[in-house]
Amino acid sequence: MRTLALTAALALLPTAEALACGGFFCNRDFPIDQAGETVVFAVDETEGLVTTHVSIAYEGASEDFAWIVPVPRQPELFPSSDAMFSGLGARTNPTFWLNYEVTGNCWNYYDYDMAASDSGNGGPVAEDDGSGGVTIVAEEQVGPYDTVVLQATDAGELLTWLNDAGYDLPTTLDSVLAPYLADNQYFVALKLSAGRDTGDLVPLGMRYAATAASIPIQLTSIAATPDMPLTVYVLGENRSVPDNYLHVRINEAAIDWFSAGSNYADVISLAADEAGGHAFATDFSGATADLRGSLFNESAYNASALNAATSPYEWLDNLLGMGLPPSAALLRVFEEVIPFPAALGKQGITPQNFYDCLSCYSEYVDETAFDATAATTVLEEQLINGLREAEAMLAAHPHMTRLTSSLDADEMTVDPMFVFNGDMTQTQSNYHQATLRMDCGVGEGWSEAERTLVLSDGREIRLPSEDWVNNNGTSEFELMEDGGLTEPAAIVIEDLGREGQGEVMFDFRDEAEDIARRFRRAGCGCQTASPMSALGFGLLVLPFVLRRRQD
Amino acid sequence: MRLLPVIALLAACEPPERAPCAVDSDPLLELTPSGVPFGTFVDGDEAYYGPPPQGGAPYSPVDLRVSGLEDMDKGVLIELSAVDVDSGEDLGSLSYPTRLVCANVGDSAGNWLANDVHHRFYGWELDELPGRLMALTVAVTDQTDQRLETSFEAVLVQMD
Repeated sequence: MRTLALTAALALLPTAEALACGGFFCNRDFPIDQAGETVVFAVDETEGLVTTHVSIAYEGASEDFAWIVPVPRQPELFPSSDAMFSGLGARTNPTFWLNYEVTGNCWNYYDYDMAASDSGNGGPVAEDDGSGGVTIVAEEQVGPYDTVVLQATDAGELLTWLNDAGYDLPTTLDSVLAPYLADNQYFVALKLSAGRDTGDLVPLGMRYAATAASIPIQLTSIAATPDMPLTVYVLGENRSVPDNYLHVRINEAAIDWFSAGSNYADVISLAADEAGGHAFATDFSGATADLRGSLFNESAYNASALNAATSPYEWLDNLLGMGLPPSAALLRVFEEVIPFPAALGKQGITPQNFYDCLSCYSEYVDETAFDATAATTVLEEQLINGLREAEAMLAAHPHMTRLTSSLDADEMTVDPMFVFNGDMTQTQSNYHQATLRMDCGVGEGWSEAERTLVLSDGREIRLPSEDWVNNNGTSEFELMEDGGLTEPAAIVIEDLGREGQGEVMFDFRDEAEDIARRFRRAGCGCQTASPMSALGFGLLVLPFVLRRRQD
Repeated sequence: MRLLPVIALLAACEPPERAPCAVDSDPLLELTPSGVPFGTFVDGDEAYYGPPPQGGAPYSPVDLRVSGLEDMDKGVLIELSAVDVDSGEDLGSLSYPTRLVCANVGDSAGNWLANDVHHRFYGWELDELPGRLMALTVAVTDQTDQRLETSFEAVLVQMD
């Protein structure tokens, strides 16, 4: 059972991202390719304190790694954990379920492979030290990083200082640094400490005085990939909304329900573009009370039992029994404490296969090298402590919101800021459902049945049978695209703020309903019905035409 | 033969095109403090400013409405600059490229909107601003270099 649980867990791991420079830029030669940014904010408005966790993804030589981020006040720095990001992501990733509802009697209903529908668903005052226009506010080692916090009055002097200090940064950053210099912001610069390599990279935690979450996206423009995804978690008193960016509600007809919403990122990108490039959608909003314990269950964790394990098999078995959520961080722990044999990799065996059934590969496992206590220490340092911190963060803030967007570099002209709104509906699930109604008639085969996709907003979209789709070399989503149902990606564009329900600027709901209605009527049978059905309809009409002529 | 038009008719249905913001008027740029309906602000009225919660220079949010320009969907350059009417002091300026949204509901339907545009009072502290009469000038330049400019004068009042 535990092996099966791990299989399911690993299957849910996100596909490997193109790891790149996860900060705001990395080095002089390869500043590009920031493939995505994920930030967790915990905002305490009463205390005027913001805690930020920023994931750092980088691919390149260790000696080239350099990272810089502006913050409004002098920050306290601390190492964060990948486990927090994995845990929150697993709990809030948008999922799209297609439920099946049958009318009539499908003769092969019980033979239908329902598994297809399951795929993928699842400060102090700074002192001038005489370094020109640059003031060194603090220097310290934080986790694997050598860090320095700076203030400056001139972009050129700041860049010169950083490059002289071994931060290999582009020299053409004046324009993107200017707004932060004008705002008297602090700059946190990181590089890997001596003896550390890119395998030691961990997210960075920062705590500073502020009352709202804001992302210094203008600096990211230097190192952004096209349509760079941006995911923001905001913990606080209420639901969080973008203040100076717009909010978009997604057109559910733009989602490819037949591939479990695999095009969601594309829909977000299109929706943000439709809102002028500066917009977020809400992936999830809910009370943290409903999330607590889902990232880490302290009562189920037993370090003593792990330390007492006499073999890697027993250690892993004990661990899997403690209900830890699946994560890339967990996999990395496995790889460190029970190394994946290179020889197996050459045979096409994946790490997932290996850890899934460790005893199956016992001849490759060096039991004598395994130290249960050391393994448990690695586990705690790399995973458990981060999950505990995430749980503590959930406990300290009653609400969490996850927002997402997608920006091109040329759209990174305004730093998005997030505020809390207690007037709006506070909950929004990340589980989205639609229903596919199968009209089987009397004893008609499942695959021959005409179908209706019913969206949560009530729109009903009539679709042809599965056989028709297959025989015509198309897909349900292509038919919907051709019928204009998938546009726009943003069905509502609105301006939200601290109070009230916001102002709707663009609303396509009535038009979308009309399009869906006409699509499912006979007039749009062209899109959905088989040629024979159209011919049949024509034959029905023909007598009326003939009768009129006779009249 | 008579069936073909029927089938062709069935095949001819197309969804309506999304109505763009029509260019059927002279170019116009309107400016108002955020939260104040367009057309109701009178020079000398109050405009709020405050500390941005993320920190940094004080800001004042404004809304923009544009009509009569071509190719607005390709983006515009927004420029904001403010001066103290009485002393002539520079109260900050900034500019950035962005794209506006074509509204299809409410009083602004058929116009391009940019809400919550933040003017930043770079170089100024919160307590240096209250009571000043600010002249805020905003310009929008489209991809064909057609530039619209407008301004208002407002007494600065700090937000609660």
